[in-house]
Amino acid sequence: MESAGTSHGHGNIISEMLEEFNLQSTYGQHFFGIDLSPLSNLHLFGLDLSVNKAVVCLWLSTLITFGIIYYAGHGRGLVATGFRNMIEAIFTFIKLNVVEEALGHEGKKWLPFIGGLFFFILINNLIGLIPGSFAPTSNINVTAALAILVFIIFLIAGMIKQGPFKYWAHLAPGGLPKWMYVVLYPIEIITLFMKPLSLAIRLFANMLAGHIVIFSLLALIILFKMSLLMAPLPFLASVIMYAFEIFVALIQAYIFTILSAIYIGSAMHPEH
Amino acid sequence: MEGNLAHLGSGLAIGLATIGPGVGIGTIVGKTIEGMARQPESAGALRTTMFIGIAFAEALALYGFVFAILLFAK
Amino acid sequence: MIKLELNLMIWTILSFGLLVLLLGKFGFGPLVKMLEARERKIRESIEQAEHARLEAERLLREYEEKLAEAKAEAQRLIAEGKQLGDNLRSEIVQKANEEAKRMIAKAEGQINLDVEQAIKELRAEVADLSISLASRVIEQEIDESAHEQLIEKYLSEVGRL
Repeated sequence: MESAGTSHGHGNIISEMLEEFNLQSTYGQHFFGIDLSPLSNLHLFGLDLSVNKAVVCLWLSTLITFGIIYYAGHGRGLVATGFRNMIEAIFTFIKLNVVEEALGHEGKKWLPFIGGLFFFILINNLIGLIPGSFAPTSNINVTAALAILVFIIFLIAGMIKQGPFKYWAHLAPGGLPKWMYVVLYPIEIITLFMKPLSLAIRLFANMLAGHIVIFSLLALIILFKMSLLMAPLPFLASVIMYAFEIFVALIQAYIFTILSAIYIGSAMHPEH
Repeated sequence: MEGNLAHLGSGLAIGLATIGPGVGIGTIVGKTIEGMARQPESAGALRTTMFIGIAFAEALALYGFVFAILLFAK
Repeated sequence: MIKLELNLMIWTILSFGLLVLLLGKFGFGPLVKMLEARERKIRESIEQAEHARLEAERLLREYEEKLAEAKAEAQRLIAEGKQLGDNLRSEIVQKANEEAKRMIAKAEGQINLDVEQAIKELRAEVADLSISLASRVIEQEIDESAHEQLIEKYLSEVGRL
């Protein structure tokens, strides 16, 4: 990896590549040629609302998510075709296999939250596959925000459903000798906090790793000194990774959603 | 040679972190296929559960990945 | 690389919260409603189809019964006709036979009559002829025995006729 270090002035090609994911860098201030720097230091009501590439992508994916669900719900006629059919199939899958399986008959009022979570994460994952765009979910802050939201929601749901004290008492399974709880209770508390942490890190790292692999494969072209003989190989490999990334985007959105649903369900009904 | 010990640690972190989850995911998928072969009618439920299991195993590798990134970008 | 960026977190919460609110209000409601409407429609269609099928089966059974009835009727009519035809035929045949027998008998009677008549006439003729012959022979001086022999010979020849 000798040439890696010499390709750019500051750091090697991988450091340079990782800069792409640093939103504080100049990469973060441009979105398809639109300069976002006027908004880059926005503060309102004491909140840091600075806008960068990832924020614009968040707005876009929110709009797209709402758009496709609205489109699927307001299509003409009862018979869905084409794109509408696809959205409906995914929605039905989420409704039956995630919401109703994890939350049972109470699933109906959780549908906007769980379904919205799935489509929001899915579109956020997919939007990063557009070259020049940025996947908000490949930034730890976005996934952490979502995971913390899920954490707070399942804590509150559990405490409302079981009562604030009973919920904490039910963290560890009942019917064990007293001294076991001394060991078990701290472990359960750690497990509780590991839930959102693993949620956030899983989604973030999966998305980041996928992008880094694609970038690395393309960086191989530069490492091969742009030779026409060798360049097609990494290019083809990156195309295959792209296809795999679409699959990963779907799987990760599904996993984040079903784990959230399971956490919420088990917080409300600890015996299951 | 350039780089520092952090780069070495980064490579070791991701390399070692993938061993366990690799074995784990292999076991999960293998057992799932066994189950599917034995009871093809429950293949759908098994596949769903398999993905959740893979997610848990994979998370361990991803912790390593995150540490590798942290060490690399240091 | 991995550092706290509060703005992103806040924007995520804001966007996602807005999305959930919007979806809860305008997004999933119509979608679920439409899915339910389609489900209801499909169920109704299936029920209708089932109803129509039962109706059709009932009609089919009815028609089959009618058809069977008609077939039996036709069979009966054919048998009747056959019977009638058979009767008629045997009657006609019998009549024809009788007629033929009658005609044969009549013809036989006629023939017998005719033969008798012919024999009678022939006899008369023969007698006449014999007489004339005899008279001619007598004229030619023939003895008694030759005369008688001649007559006998003639008679026997005539009888053979």
